[in-house]
Amino acid sequence: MRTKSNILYVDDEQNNLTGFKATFRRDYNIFTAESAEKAMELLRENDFEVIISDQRMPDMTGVEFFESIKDDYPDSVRMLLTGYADIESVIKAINEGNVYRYITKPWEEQDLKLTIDNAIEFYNAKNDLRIRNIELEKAYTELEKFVYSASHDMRAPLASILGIVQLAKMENENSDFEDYLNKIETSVEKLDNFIQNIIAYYRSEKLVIQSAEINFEQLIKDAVSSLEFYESAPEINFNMEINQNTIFKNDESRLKLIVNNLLSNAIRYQKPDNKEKRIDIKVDVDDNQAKIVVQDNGVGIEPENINKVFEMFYTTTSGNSGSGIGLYIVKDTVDKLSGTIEVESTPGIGTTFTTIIPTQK
Amino acid sequence: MSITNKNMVMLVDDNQVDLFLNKKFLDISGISDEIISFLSAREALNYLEENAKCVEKLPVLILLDVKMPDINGFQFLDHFKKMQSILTKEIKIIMLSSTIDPVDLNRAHDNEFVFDILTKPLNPNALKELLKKQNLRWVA
Repeated sequence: MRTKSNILYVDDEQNNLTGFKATFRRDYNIFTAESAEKAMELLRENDFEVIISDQRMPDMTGVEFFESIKDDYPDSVRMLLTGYADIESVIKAINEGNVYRYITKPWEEQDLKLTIDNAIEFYNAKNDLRIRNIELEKAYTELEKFVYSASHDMRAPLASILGIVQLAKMENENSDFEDYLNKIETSVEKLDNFIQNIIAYYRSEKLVIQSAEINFEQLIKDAVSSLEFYESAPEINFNMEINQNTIFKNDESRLKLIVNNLLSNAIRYQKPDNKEKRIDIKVDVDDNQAKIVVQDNGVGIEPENINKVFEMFYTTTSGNSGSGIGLYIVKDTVDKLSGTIEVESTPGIGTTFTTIIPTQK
Repeated sequence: MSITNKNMVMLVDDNQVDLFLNKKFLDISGISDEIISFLSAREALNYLEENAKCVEKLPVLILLDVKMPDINGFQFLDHFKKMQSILTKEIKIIMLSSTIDPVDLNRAHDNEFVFDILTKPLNPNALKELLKKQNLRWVA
């Protein structure tokens, strides 16, 4: 942040501008303009906490000037410099919200400084509130999406379990109960994996970044075996190529979160009837970074959906968008580790996620 | 009922357990004598396109999951609409979802091919009643 506030002073008398600048240049960054037109130019290029304008100017009055800039520069605090003769138009301007305060001519240095400082304080308070508001609104929207997406992902396996129970009750005999129990188990494991994932994510939201030596071979093997419950997992050929000859330090639990979610995504998006389901995992580690490439020959992603894959599943007025919480968590975690992630996909051919995580210094 | 007028139902769902369940529930409801199922919208659309001229290979009803990877249920409907001119049979669609929110509900009801959207798990009796109400002639 700047240490000194930017103040713009508009007055058609050059003497006033010079005097103002000489008096206050140690306290503020003073910009001066001898016409409304010149002031507009300065406004386009700079941000001002406070704008002071003389009321009586040949081309435009101060009130008119403020009225014209109010919509484009609503945050700057506007103050009018005027003699008593103009008091009626000043009161009107204040009532209409175009002017924050007025200063009577001739001004006293101490008084004016106090007034400007008050205006700057007012500007800062308003600005802080505005930033807080934007942050809160963003957090609220994220939360809303999260609740929607999470409740959908949790309700889906529960509906499957409920269905199997109802089916067993309808059939009574003739049911292959062992098969039903296996199907219930799969659904429970899906739900459990989802909840564990959310817990891991929320833990990582709070925790500071940890540092440990990472063994990618082990990390990826663990991730693959933790996803064996997926119905299609046994049919998939996992190919690992790990090139790690150097020590790589980073946050192990966050890396796990990234790899687990990328792999479970690659498993879920396989082509069901493909006899040669394949997921290739390639890791290249050098002194600066680890590059993790997860490539599948699954269903792929339509071009119209590819920009939404890192968004949470959410229903907007224009329809459903996003793909669930998994890839949202991946993106968020990669960002936390100052890494990058890119996705390339051809519908019907497959998808490649390339993640680059820098080494912790 | 003649053989040429089979009550074929198509199931589209990315979840294998749900596909299995819907098959079973359809059997119980007795409304269809042939079921074809697909684990992705893309495969289902390909099937419809390939068999567009073959009346006996087309379903009369599609039970369509809303949330699927790649092409979701509503995107399926967009593709399905474009296919209308070549399809030789009138096909009705019921959408299925584990959670239904008002936006999905309205979108489903506004769609000319969809006559309802139901919550999972499917209830065979409710499905039968629904089809009766819609006066689908092939429902006993």
